[in-house]
Amino acid sequence: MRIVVCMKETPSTEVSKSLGTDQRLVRNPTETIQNPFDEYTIEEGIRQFEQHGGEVIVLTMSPAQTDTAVRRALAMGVDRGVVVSDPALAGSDAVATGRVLAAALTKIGYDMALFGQASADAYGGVVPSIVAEFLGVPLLSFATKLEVAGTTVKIQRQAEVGYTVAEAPLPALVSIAKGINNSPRYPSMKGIVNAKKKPVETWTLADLGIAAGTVGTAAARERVTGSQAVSTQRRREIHVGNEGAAQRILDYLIEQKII
Amino acid sequence: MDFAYSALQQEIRAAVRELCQQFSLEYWRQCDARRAYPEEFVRAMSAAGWLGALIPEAYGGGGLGMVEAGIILEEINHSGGSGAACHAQMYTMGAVLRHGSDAQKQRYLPAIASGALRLQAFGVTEPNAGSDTTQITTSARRTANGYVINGQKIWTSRYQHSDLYVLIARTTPIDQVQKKTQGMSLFLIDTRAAGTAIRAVPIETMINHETNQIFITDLEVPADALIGEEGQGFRYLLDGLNAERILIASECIGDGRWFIEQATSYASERIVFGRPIGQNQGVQFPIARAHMAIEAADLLRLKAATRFDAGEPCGPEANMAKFLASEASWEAGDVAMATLGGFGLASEYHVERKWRETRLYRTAPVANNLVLSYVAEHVRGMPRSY
Repeated sequence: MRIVVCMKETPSTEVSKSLGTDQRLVRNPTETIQNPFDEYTIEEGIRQFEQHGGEVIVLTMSPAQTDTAVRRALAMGVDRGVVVSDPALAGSDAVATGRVLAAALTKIGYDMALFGQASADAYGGVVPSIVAEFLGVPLLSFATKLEVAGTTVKIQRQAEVGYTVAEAPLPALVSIAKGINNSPRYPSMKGIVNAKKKPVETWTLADLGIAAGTVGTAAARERVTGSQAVSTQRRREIHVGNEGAAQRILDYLIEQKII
Repeated sequence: MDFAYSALQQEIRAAVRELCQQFSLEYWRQCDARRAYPEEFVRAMSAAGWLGALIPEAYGGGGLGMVEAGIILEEINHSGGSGAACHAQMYTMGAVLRHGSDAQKQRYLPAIASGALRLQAFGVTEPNAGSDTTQITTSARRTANGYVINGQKIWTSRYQHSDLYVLIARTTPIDQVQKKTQGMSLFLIDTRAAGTAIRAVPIETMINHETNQIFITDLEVPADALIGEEGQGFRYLLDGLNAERILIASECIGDGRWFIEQATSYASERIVFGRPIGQNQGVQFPIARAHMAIEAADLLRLKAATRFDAGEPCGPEANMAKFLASEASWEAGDVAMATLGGFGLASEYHVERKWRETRLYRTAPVANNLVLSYVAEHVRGMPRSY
C-alpha cells in the first residue's frame, strides 16, 4: 500500500506571529516546525505502513526555505519526501493548495492519502475536502481510529455521544483528528541518521503541469483584508468596599446557578 | 573556519531536547529526593538510541562522533536533568571498541548499543591510589583458565546499574616492572556472574549519584575477559580519557546554560524596590560574566571534539575544556544561587540540586588541580610538580 501523508510547515507555536503589510504571515525559516496536528498523521501513516507494508511518503507544499519539517518526518520513519515549491505559489489560498496537492498526489500515485485535522497557523481545516473534490475520491474526515482491510478503509469519528463509523473503498483520503491519541514517536538517533540517506524530491508547478495563473496571490479567491489580535478578558464585577459585599457574592453565585 | 553546526547536529540537538522535555524538573527533583536512579529517563534515552551514539553502525550504534555525543549530553544537562546517570554507557565501551577482540566486540557492542546490556562502571580509583593510578594494588593472577582478581576499588559509579564492569588491575607487581605504568591490564567483568566475589557498598554523597566501594575477593574470570594485551591497561586507560573529558565538559556547558537561563529569567521577573532586580548591574554583570565563561568553554570543547573526531591529538584541548567548563558551570551555579536569593536554596527551584550536581565535575573524573599540572608540564614544558 502506498500511503502519502500531507504535511504543512507552520511557524513554531512558541514564537509570536506577525503579518506583513500584504497581510500574509511573516515566515521565519529558523522558527518553522512540523504542523503539530500533522505529527498524529505522520504517526498514523507510519503505523499503517508497518502493518500493511508498501511505502509511506510525506508531501508538502512549502516555500522550501528549510527542510526541517520534512527531515523530521523522515527521521520518524517516512520513506521519502516530495516538496512542491515554486515562487508562483506565494499567496495561494486553500483552493490553490488543494489543486497543487491533488496534482502531486496524482503524480506520486497513492492508495491512501492522510491529512491533519487542520494547520496550527491558519486553522482552516478545509484543504482535505478541496483535495477530495479535485481528485473525485472519498474523504473520511476527523478519524480517531483508522483501519484498512483489503481495499476498504474504515474510520471512527468522535461524536458528541459515542462515535460514527464511516468506510470507503481505496483509494481514499482520510483526515486524522488529534483525538486519535496515537502517541507520535520522537525521531530516534537511528531515524535521524538514516533520514540522511532518504530521498527528497522538489517539484515545481511545471512538473505538475499547473499553470501559474491558477495559483498564488492573483488567483486567490480568499483574501485577508485585515486582522486583529485575539484578546481575552475574563468577565468580572468589581465591588468596592465591604458594605454589602458578602450579599453581592451570594446573589451572584445564585444568579449563576452555582449554588 | 566555520562555527556553524551541521543540519544533522541541529536535528540531534532538537530531538534530544524533545525527549528530555518529557522529563520535568520535578521528575529530577523526586529522583534526587528519593536517591533513585532515573530509570525511566535512562530507558527512554536507550530506546531512542542516544546512548549508543559513539558505537559504529556496524555494531548497531549511531556511528556518530564526539561533537554529536557532546551535544547529546549537553542537552540532557541543559534540560535541568543530569547525564551522570548514563553518560558512561556512551564512552566506557571505548576500551572494548578500540582494544577489544573481534569476539568481544561482536558479543558486547550491539547489546550495549541497544541498551540491553549496560556497561557504565569503570573501576580505577582505589583507597590508597587516588589520582596516582600506578599505585593500585588490585591484582589479577594468571591461572590455568584465566585470572583470579583480588583487591578493592572506590568511587566506582553506577556499579549497581551496570551489567558489565571494566576494571584495571595489576598483572605484574609494580616492583617487577621497568616503568610503573607497565604491568596493568584491563578486564571486562560480567557483574551478573560475579556472585559474592564482588561486594559493592554504596557511598552516600551530597548528590544523587550511585557510587560505591567495591571489594573483590577471589574473583575468577576467564582468559577472554582480558581487554587487549596483558600489561597494556594503563595505555588503554589513557586512550579513553580525552573522550571522557570532552563529554564531561559538555555536561558542564549544559549545566551552565541552564543556570544562566534560570538566573536571567528570575532577574527579569523578580521586582524589588519597584523594578526588576536584573536592572541592577550588581545582579546582571555576574550573569553576563558567567555567560561569557560558558561560551568560551564551549568553543574549546568543540575544538577538542573536532580534533578528536579528526583523529588528531587533543589531550591539551580536552583537558582545558574540562577545566574551563567545570569552573564556568560552578560559577554560573553560584550566580544563579545569588540571583535567586533564598529561593536558590529551595529545592522547588531546582538550582540547589543542579549546584550540588555540577560541583562534582571540578573533582571528577579528574581533579582540576591535576589539569593545571598537566597543562603546566605537558603544554608549557615546566617541571613536573608532583
